[in-house]
Amino acid sequence: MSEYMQGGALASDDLDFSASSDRGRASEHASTAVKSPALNVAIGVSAVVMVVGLVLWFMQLSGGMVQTAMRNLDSWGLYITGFMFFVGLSAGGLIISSVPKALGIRGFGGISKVAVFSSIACTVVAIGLVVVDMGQPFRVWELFVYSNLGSPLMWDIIVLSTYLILSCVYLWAQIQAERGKVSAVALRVISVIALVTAVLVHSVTAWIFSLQQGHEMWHTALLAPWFVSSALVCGTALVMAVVIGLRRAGYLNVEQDNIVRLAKLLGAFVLVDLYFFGCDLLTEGFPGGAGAEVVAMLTQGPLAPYFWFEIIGCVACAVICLTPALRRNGLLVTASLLAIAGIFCKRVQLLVGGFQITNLADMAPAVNSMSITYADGTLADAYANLVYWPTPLEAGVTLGVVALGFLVFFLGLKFLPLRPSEK
Amino acid sequence: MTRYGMVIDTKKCIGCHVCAMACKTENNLPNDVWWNRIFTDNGGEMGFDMVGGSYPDNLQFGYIPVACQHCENPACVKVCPVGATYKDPETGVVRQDYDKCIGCRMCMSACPYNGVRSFNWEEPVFHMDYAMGSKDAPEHQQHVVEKCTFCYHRTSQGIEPACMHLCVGRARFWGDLDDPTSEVSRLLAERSHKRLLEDRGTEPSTYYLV
Amino acid sequence: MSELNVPVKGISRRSFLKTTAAVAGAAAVSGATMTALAATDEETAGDEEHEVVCVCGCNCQGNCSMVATVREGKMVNIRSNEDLPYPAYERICMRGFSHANRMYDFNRVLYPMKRKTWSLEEPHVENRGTDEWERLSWDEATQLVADTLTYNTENYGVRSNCVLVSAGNSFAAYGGLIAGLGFANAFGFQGLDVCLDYGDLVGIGEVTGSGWDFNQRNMAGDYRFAKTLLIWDTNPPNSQPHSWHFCMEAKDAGANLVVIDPTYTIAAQQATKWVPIKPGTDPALGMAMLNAIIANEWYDLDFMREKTCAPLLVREDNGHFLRATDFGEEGPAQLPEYPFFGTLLLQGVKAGKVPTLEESAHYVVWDADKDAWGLINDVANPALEGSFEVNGVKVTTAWSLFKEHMAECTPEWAEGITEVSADTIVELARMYSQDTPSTIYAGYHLYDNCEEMGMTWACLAALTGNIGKRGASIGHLGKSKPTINMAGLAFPAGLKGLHDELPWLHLPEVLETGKLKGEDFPVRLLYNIGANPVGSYAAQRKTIEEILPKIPCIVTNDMEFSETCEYSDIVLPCAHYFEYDWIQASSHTPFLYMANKVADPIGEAKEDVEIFRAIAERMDNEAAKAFYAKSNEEMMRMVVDTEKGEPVGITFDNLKEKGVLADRDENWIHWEEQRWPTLSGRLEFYVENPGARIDIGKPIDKDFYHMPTYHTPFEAYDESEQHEKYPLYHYCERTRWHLHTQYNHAPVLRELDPEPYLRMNPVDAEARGIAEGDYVEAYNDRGHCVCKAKFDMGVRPGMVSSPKGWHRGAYVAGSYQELTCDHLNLLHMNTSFDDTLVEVRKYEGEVR
Repeated sequence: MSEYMQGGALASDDLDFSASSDRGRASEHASTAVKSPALNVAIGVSAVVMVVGLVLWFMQLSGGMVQTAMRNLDSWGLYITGFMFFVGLSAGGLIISSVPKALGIRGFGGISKVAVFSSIACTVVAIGLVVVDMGQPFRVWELFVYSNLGSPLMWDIIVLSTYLILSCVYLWAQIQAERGKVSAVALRVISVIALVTAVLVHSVTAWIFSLQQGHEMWHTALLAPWFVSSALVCGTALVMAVVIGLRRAGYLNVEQDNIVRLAKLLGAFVLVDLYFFGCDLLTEGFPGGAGAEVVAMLTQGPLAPYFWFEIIGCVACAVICLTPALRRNGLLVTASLLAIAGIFCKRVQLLVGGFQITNLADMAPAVNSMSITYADGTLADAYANLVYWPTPLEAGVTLGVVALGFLVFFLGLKFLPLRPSEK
Repeated sequence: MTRYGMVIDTKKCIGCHVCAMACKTENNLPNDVWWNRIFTDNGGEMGFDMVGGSYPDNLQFGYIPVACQHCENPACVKVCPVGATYKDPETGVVRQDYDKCIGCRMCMSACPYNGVRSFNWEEPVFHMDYAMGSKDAPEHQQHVVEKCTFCYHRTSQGIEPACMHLCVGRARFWGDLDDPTSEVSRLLAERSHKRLLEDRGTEPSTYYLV
Repeated sequence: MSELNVPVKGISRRSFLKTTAAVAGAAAVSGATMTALAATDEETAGDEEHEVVCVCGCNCQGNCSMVATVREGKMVNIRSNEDLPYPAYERICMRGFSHANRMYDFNRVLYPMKRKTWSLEEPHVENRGTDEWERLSWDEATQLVADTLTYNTENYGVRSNCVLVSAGNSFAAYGGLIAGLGFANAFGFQGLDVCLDYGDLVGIGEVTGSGWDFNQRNMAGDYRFAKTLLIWDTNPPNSQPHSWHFCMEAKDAGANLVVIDPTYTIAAQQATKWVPIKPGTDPALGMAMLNAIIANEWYDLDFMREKTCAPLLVREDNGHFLRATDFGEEGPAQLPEYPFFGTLLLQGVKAGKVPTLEESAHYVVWDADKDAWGLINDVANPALEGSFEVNGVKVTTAWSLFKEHMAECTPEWAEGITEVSADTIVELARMYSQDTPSTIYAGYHLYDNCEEMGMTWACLAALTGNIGKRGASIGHLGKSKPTINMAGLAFPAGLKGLHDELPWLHLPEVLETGKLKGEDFPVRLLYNIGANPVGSYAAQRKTIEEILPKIPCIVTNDMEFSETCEYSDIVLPCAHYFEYDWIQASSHTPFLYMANKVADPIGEAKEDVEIFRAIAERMDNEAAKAFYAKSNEEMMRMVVDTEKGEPVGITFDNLKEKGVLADRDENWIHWEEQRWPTLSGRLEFYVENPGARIDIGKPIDKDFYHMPTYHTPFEAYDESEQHEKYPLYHYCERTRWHLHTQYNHAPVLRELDPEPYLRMNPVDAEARGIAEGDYVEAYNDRGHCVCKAKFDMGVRPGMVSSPKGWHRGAYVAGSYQELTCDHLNLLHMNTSFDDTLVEVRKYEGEVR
């Protein structure tokens, strides 16, 4: 059978429940480990980077977080930025794979399992980044013993772990469904739950920030839906990039039509995300005052490069995705990467920006090396540039955690039946 | 019920830093850690201890001591995932349990009064090679969040916080806000006052006379 | 012994900033932590925690009584002593909290030391400041000092040993400062005068007769009763924070609280009125206020008639007051010069004598009713104005002369000099004279025209009667202690043969010429006792390069390794004033204090008295030996147990028991009896016979100094020669982080005040291409300094300021003290630190 036909057959697999028993059998082939030298190298590299990260993390714990660039006035940094970002990436993948099933509409080819697994990998990274950000990771058990259920951080921990478990269950269910061991209805129910959790993960992550009255920039009701839309943007973009990449690598085969639909979806999500951004900027800036300060900081201040990269990158992404003539694979990958980088820039703006504008700014405290990263000079000097920029150690630890995600993903590719099942 | 509160007369504060030093000494604060900081009220353009505005007719200068505001509605308490920061029901003091703190710094981010909380970014380092201050003051730990405790170890024994022992400018007052006859209540009844960032709804127990 | 570490090597430029952790610093230089060096005796070690009432010994005059908590022999906490006779005087400052830091500072001097290549036989100065240090035993060190003093005495005369005493080791009635003065007197060594802070004292003293003593104003508690308070030339919230609440209480009660200062300070911010004035021109403002008071007849005629020299008749021929004795056979009397006597401590003793009415009965006035002359005590209605002839002598009343003299000093004239509007000047004059009682809270006018400043303040008080009353006084500190007697310790050999002190500012000429007052005067040894002339005195480069190299031996007693220690040949470690028992009693507070030992001395440090005792034992002077044979307690009893003290319960035993004793009212009024220690017993706003503060054999222009006459600062004025090259007025601000050169290292203070800076208005900075935080170089012909620029809108454009006190080593290069003006004014002989012009440029060199 031609490749094209294979793809065509796969295109219908999401909803062709009648064929489940066949695929169940077929999947037994797929479950055998993939023997690819490139994959082995990737696993090796990821493992090495992860181990380096681990070593750096122990350095951070023993020598103190003074080795990071975080200080009392910029108390979160790259870790939490990465956390926000990877939560977004993760939920995006899951939503892409679960929406068609949950709503009973046409899916995006046989990418469902890969998408969900990418979500799992991203969730692992997100959780990992929270752990490395903690000063006392060995007290993590307290979270379960002394849980303060009123804390948005607690909500997030609950929702995120639920989400991770659900993602695994959902993946397992899909595989089992392929093997005919889980009914379509059950899968659909799980997919609905997964979808709700995905949206919730986003909202709750947003609430960690938006429920803080202390930061003008964060304190907006729009933040939760906006996190969802941003997640959809980068999640879709990630799935599209990964799928195109894996197709090229010959790991799976996806019909171009599905890619085009993904691209259209991405274009739409990007526009929604930009729309939210516009709404937010207008609402912040229009009354003047502190909000206008936020707008000025984003558009002209030290965060302007991130702002304009995001805006231009997202607009370019939308143009590529929505212009049929431009939907060539190379450009689509570029568009995806632009969207992902744009959303990362958004995360940087949000996190650093939140600390970049300080309350009590009309007063000057004495500053020292514990209160702010660049304590040499006045507070105004410290805020004149980016108030926070990670140290190599932080970058290394972050890379290590990200490598863990890659490791999980690559191991999944190698050992789990994530390929679309073959006839 | 007792609700400890502090009233600071901004018209009298001379920025002498006695309260800051008393706090630092009593609580044996590590190097570069100051729970009680004296801000220069100069518009923010100029640095600490410098005058803002323009010479000679439009100058802006003053001092304002800022420590934990011990809010009625503390943003930090709500967000702590493990309840390591909590409100003492007896006194209204926002307290912390260093042994419980997981170092997530959620409270630091949530507190609108930037910098009143400080995280021990390293194993605490001290100028002296022996512990200064009260032997009852809690020990400092690496990677946990700390802040002003209203000197709970003193107030629980009926002694005023260290910063209140003597204010050189006679600008600091301390007492029970729920007791209408207390000096703080009387001052608040007599003088116009403000609280920091009132729009954030945190209801601080630290008042500034203006 | 030389292989033993001393705490001084490695204290290089700026390095102490980088080793602020005392533990780390001490470990680096002495191989052990400093606290480990403190010998802990068994008693205190076993005791878990106890409290000691102690007193801060630094000479800010705050005299803070404090309670130290001691745990296992080490000081762990401190607080203000709340148990005082007058609670309003409860006090402590942030520096007070840093004493544990200071006691265990890595910069403490731990052992007696000698410069390695220096010896009595070969007292060369070549590598002074760079030589290595050799540790000595106390026996070796005191023997060496004794031998040197003896050798100099025998070969060059006793006065070739010069002693410079200051308050760095404690400002005390027993201990530090007094111990040093007593040491000089016991042997007859030449005392050096520090030339610090005496400028306006001279001016005030000329009018009030109080000499150049600090003892002038009412007790600080009395500020509360003023209706107008002029805070002039000072920023008390930084320099004397403890007195400020009294001023604010006056303000709360409705007083005018006026701050006259070029800089917008926190005092200015809290005042009811701030008068920004062109630097150095304050005397012109005061003179114009006098003019306005005269023009508007805001003076107090009754007060002037009864209490001042207004009705006294000034002889046209010699400028002296006419006395009945002038007509006797001997003719006009030889008058002593005001102010008297070239030693600070004698100002209070001799010039403090207030004449009785009988003693001043010989002054002649003009009887307005009878239109004839008469004696002052006999005439009920003396003429205040007019010129007369008495027995052929042409005379004019002092008041007429004064009115005429001040006539040209109009507010408009002063506006041109001070840049304070004439209206403001008139308003100040009105407040001061009409919204009474009024107090002038004086700082130190550190310009060459300081004596005019002081005289003007005193004249303002004399014309309006704002002196010697509740809420009305002028000047600096309250009067010396009423009951104690420090003479026994300060002058163990008595006053006979006592020489005037040699002003530090005159020392360069003496060293250059080898002569003082025309006589040969070799200087062989400089003994610094709690004094840091390199750090504290003007024109630092000159001190280092020209003064010190001309002196073959320099000995320094200090607790910290000061800049002066660096340039010494022998350094003796002093105990911190929490390390021994002593007595605090200065004129700023109405108390006597027992300063109890808090902890054992670090290293081998000893208190000054012990050091002098050991030196005296090794010298051939029986009287001095007998003096130092007294125990410490006997010496303390000499001070406290006096005839005056006994009846009011002030005894050593009582003091020891109570810790703090009040020796007068908390709102005590100076000169409440409304008689002054002038010759006439009246306030003499006309000075008959002005004289130099200390006689160094150089004449002054007496005619110029009879009444306040404006003259410019020496260097810091727009028309001066230097101004074209160095257009910025440089002054040394008093910050709360330092006291003179004390507290330079205390690491906890350095957390908030990490390095020196040049404070400047952005207007001047931008004109020179300087951005906030840039390193800049301030320079003039005397030297330079390199440090960070800090922008401050409160600095008057055209001015820059350096925080006073920083150690040389804290600068990237040079020191603020290199810039300061060391001009010797022949009348006041005070160092006009702020009479300094500089230029500032961006520093392009390397910053280490």
